[in-house]
Amino acid sequence: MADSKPPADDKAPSDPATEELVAYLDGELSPPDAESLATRLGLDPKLRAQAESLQRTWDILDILPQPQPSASFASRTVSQMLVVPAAGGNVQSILAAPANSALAASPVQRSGASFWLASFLTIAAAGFGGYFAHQAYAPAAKLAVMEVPTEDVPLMKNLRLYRNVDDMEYLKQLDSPMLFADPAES
Amino acid sequence: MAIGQTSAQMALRDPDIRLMLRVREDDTAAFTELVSHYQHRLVGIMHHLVGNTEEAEDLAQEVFLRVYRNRKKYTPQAKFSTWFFTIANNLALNALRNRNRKPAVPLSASDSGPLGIRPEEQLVRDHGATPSFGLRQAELADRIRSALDTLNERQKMAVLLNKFEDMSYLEIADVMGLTTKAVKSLLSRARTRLRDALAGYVLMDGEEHPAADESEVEGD
Repeated sequence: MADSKPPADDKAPSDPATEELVAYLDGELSPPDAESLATRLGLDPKLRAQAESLQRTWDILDILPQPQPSASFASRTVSQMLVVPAAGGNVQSILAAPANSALAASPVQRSGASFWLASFLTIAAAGFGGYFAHQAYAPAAKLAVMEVPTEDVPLMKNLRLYRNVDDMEYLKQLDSPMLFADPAES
Repeated sequence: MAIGQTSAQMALRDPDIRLMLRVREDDTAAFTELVSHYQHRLVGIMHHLVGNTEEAEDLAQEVFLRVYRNRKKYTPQAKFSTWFFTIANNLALNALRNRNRKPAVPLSASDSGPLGIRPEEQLVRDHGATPSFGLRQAELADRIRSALDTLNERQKMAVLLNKFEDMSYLEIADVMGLTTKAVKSLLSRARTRLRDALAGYVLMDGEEHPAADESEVEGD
């Protein structure tokens, strides 16, 4: 069940007389043993003082305030559980299962992990969707480029120059080979 | 799932078993009732063990999670609280061991060792400075918590189950996986240690408190 190795402090020998006294105060002794100890207590003031100090120490623990769960604890807990399916496995493994995850991944944290997982899956799905949509439409786009009339290609190539000229006739004159010829030659 | 004759007899005696049997049959209302019924006791014990509310609630929630997840396999074999606190004990002790392996706060050097001043040393220091006669309840509660912190985890768990859950040695033995003899020894050591740690705050009949003597001396 629980670990069988007691801590070093638990291995130290304890005083049998104190054990009996504590068990007596806890009502854990058999009736004959309890009666015998009660007689000794009546006769031994030192033993009686020891019993009283142990009992008073025990009683003083009642002063400890009982820590209360937060107001939302029950509702949070129940809502967490309602999404949990029943598990398989044996009972011993349930009882003795390590709790290393208890602090590292509380139920609340687990719901956070689910959120991130869902977010990741959504983003991944969107990415795949975009990729396939691109694959579906990209050929048409390439085709559109190919369908540009060949006679327009020079125009497109010199578009930047054409923008600086208002008049096409003037441009044609500039293109004349005689415009900048030496007058002597002409 | 049919309830056997022994289970039926136990369920008649323990209302919490009846509740858990309803939880086993996926009765959500029964689970809500179970949480409502046990939350204060469980969070209280966890808080005394780990020392803070957030961690205590995380652990308590984990206990309820395990109860619910394993509801289909529940078979009454003892009082429901014994089964319930067995889960709680294993979770809490494992969490504490895990925490001890990985200290959450940086350790500072101190004469008292790497963990700083020990609770019993703190008690001795504070006792010298503060007359316990006039100690308010909150301060006394702090002293008691410090005294509890001088116990090891198993001693503390045994004390909490005995004191606040009113469990017998046999029930504590079932919960903690020990013999009743081991529980008897564990509790004896724990109570002796508590008595020593709280000696200044527990007065015997006719015994004068040292603080009273000190104030008289100072008055002279």
